[in-house]
Amino acid sequence: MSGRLLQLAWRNLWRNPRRTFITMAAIAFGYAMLLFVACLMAGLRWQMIENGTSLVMSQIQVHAPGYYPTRSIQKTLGGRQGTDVTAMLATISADRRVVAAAPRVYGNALLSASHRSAGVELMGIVPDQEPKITTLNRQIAKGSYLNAQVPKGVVIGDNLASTIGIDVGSEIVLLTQAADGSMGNDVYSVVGIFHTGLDTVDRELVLMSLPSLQELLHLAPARIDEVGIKLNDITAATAVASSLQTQLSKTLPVRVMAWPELAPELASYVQFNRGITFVLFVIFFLVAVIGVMNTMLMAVFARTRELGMLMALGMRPVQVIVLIMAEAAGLAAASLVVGGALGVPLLWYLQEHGLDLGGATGEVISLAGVVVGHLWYGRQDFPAYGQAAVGLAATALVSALYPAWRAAHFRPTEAIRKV
Amino acid sequence: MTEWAVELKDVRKTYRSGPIEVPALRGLSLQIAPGEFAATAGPSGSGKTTLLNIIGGLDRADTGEIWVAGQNLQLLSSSELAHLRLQRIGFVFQTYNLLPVLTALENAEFTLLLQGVPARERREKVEKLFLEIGLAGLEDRRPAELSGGQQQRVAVARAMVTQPALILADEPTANLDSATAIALLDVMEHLNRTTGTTFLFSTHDPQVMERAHRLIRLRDGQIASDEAHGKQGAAVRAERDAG
Repeated sequence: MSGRLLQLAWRNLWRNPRRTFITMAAIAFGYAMLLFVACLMAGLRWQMIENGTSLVMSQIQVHAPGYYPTRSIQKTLGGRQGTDVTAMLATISADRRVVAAAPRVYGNALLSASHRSAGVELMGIVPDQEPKITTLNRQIAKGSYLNAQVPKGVVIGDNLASTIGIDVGSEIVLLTQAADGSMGNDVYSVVGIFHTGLDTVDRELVLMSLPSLQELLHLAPARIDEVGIKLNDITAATAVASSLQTQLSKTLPVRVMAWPELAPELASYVQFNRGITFVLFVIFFLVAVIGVMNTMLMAVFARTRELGMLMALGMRPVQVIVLIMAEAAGLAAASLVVGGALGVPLLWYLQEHGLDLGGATGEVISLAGVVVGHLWYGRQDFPAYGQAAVGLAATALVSALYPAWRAAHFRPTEAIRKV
Repeated sequence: MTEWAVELKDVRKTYRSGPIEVPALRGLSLQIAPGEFAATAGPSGSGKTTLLNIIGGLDRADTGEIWVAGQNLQLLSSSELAHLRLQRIGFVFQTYNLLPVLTALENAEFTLLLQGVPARERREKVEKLFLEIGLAGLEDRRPAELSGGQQQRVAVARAMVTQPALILADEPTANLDSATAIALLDVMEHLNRTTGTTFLFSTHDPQVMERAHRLIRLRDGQIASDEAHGKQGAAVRAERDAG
């Protein structure tokens, strides 16, 4: 198509500036809103994944085969002999995509203090390694995180503390069945109380040092249940897990699981979130179809005589179709530019400042078992922006097909007679 | 034997609207030689516009043969008719029908554009023609900034710039005052004389009838009279009779 025809299409678009401007403004605003929604949804996905994996779980976990999800105390990595934990961590950290890795041991116990008791889940960690892969150390509401000065210290959730009636400095007794079948029990001191906003975590989790828990469970230092891993790009979790599975399996039978497998409800939510975004896109495209088709039909019928004249001069129907489609494409392109210009400050604001939902919903929001926080940050989702733009352009062209087809089928002799 | 610019053989056309049939052309036969400056006249409903539309390939006859530039239009597809119109026929409409968003030059070059002629060549041809027909200096004006006579000259330029074999003009002076109409006829006659392009008008205007070298009067879809006008008309008539 020649530049002159494109020029003609563009000028035609502005023959009725008000009509074009209104249609363009509607599409541009809609596009800006799509960018806004895509950014917010991506932000929500990101926060869900980030918070869901970073609080306790971590992004990738390495277990002995059959350990997960029953978490049998007998199924430590490497079996009863255990494994060379340092070598395993070194192998994992050798992958450039890995930021940090930390060993863990789990157990269940009865926690007693004063005259009350409660069933709890014990998590043994290395205090200076675990904060590199999870963020529970940042949730301390009272007291301090685990530290080397108090080897028999524990950190508990605020719900558990209030249920049992204990505080920082209180002594507790943990009673459990050890790995050798004997009863393990000992006295520990509460050094800190955390608050995550997730009821089950705040009510059941007891954090202690890895050696302490191994001692309580009668596990040798080489016996650990799990290695938690943090990556520099969480979207690569499944690929890294697969790669580590191959690498680690050379020396030890292991099962490496990425977060979508560890938290299927979270993975489902991410899919749901993408689905919602897609549905919103489709709704907008349908609205755009009506807007563009209306504008183009009006433009075509207002110019029936002129289009008839062009065909009388020798313009072929396909050229008429191209002309009308070019007008629609011009409308879409202008709308995209304006919509993009409107959207950029919104996207920047969402990413930098987020939406504060605290006033409406309280301080903490949890979704699908994950704390999202009261600030809802956006995250740039350029593929989605591109899809929205391509979808909009395609929508405009599809919408113009019928008006263009109608125009191409005008009979010149009848069209020229139209006033 | 003369190859006619236009030749019609027993052409019939009837318009139908439900049960009502309106015959527009009733077995009309006509030959127009290359280079003629001819007009068709007649009352409303006599078939003038239908005749022009059929010769221009904008409408199809029910029966008969229509030969234009050596081609039988009845045998051409819509696409071939469009191609013929673009390459061999120029149209001038009663109401100018310029594109309001294009300048005078852009309007005039539009048919060249459709032909795929490069921009520089288009501009050169239009500027040369504008100079010839008194539109020089008005190239960049939009139709709304031109008088009726100037707009119709641009329409003539658009029709002429492709150097067609035939120009069909449907009441080209109907919206013009007398002086402007005469000036336009001067332009068209000049182009007819200098380029040899065949002109065929439909008209109600006595001035156009007077200036035509040949006047074909239509009544009820048939030729009522066919007269040569002036010296040139007589010469054409003699040549046609000889052919």
